[in-house]
Amino acid sequence: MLSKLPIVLLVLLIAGCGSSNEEEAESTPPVTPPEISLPGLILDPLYQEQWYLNSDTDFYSSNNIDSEAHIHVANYLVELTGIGIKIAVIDDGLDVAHEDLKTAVTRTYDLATGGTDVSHTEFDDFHGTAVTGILGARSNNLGIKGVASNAELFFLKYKSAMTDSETISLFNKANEWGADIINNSWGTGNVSQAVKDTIINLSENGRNGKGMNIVFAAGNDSELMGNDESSIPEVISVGATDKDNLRASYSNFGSELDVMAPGGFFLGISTLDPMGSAGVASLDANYLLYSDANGFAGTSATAAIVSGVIALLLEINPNLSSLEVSELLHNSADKIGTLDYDLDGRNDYYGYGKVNVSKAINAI
Amino acid sequence: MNIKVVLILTGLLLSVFSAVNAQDNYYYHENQRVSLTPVPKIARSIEGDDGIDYYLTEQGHQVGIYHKILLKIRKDNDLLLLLAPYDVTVEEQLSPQLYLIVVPSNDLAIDLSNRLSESPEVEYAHPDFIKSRVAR
Repeated sequence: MLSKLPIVLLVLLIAGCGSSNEEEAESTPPVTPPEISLPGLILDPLYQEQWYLNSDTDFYSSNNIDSEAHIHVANYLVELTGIGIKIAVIDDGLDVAHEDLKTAVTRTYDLATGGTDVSHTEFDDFHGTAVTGILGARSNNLGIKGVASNAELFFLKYKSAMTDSETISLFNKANEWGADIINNSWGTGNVSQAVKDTIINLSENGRNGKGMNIVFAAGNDSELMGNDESSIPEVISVGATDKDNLRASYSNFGSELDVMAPGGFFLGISTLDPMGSAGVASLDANYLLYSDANGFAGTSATAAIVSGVIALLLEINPNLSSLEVSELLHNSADKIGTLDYDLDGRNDYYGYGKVNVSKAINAI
Repeated sequence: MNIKVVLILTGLLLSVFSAVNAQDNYYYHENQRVSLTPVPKIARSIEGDDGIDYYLTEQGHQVGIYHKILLKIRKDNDLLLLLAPYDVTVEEQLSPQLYLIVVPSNDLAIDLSNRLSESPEVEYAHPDFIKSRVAR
């Protein structure tokens, strides 16, 4: 987790520390289809600073953001909202009553108690709220816009240390509730065979045989993904890019990395913080802004972005299988960075490249 | 010799083995042995109660082990027949062939899951590990 970055660290990073070699050369601009130009109908006040979605010219210029650093949503976020699609989020807690999540969350479960109160355990916990906001914040003239702002959300609160059988029970419950997508912005680095087996089974046979779309964050340790949940071939593992449209130097890598999405580093990913005095935000009571010293960045954010994108794809065609969704994401991804991609169109640091929403939608 | 006799003999041998030998210092992950080193209490990074033993895997991950194991049997095998020689109970069925099994002690969680892993009727077995989740 890269949140709570000290201001000093941010200053150092902005000064140019932390880039890996393959990031230093210029990237090849990806080829993208013409974007539809419609009047902006997204009125959420913080949408301008959601640079991972919105390539606002002024914002990009003032923050020195590469013009291709976003995921090319064009105006599809006006047309598509993930309506009818169910996303389960497994995380550490949620401010269900957040003003930007009203009516969004329909089912909750707390593993520790067996009850429905999934509030954050500690006063300064925020992770689950930040993740949920990225993928599903409502479009309601408040705060930010989630990638899938009309998707139905389920939230399952995990325990920081839990048994394999408890982990399996959370996945099984999301399946029982009819989730189309399960977002996992966490990992153990050491997945057990029974958990892996459960995830593979749901990925192949869940969602009434179409396969559950299970998304995992690749991790933030700049190391091989190893025997992590994100390395399970049947899941969609997501790495992180930065404002320069290059792999963020913290992003884990490996032969099972699928795609990249903006995860922030120099700039945070604007999202929700638990309302009021709870949470960690320093600039706004209810939101973690891109410039907050405690801002949100990392592959947790990228997994949430991709979970939201999958909801948009399923809104267009709910019958897409999990395998077809993976192939759409792979085949439409932009080949960013300076590393070569193999004959299958991938490498271990960028996977198949960075998600491109317009191209994925056009390919359906 | 039929399978029931073999299983009973296996169970008896395990009981004798457990009585006179220290527990295994490994478990099976995808048919490969993974070594386990007991972790001193001061080094524990996973919070738990006193009923949990903690180990470090050879990859450096801390895991907790308690008195339950996860067992997946191959199709068309009889769970109760497989477990008959052992003093265990089935707590929950998690999927068609995957079961949560209660064993008499933490030590037996490792030994019994290893012996079951070596059985042709079993797809895999391992302790119901306790692991830390890291938010990313």
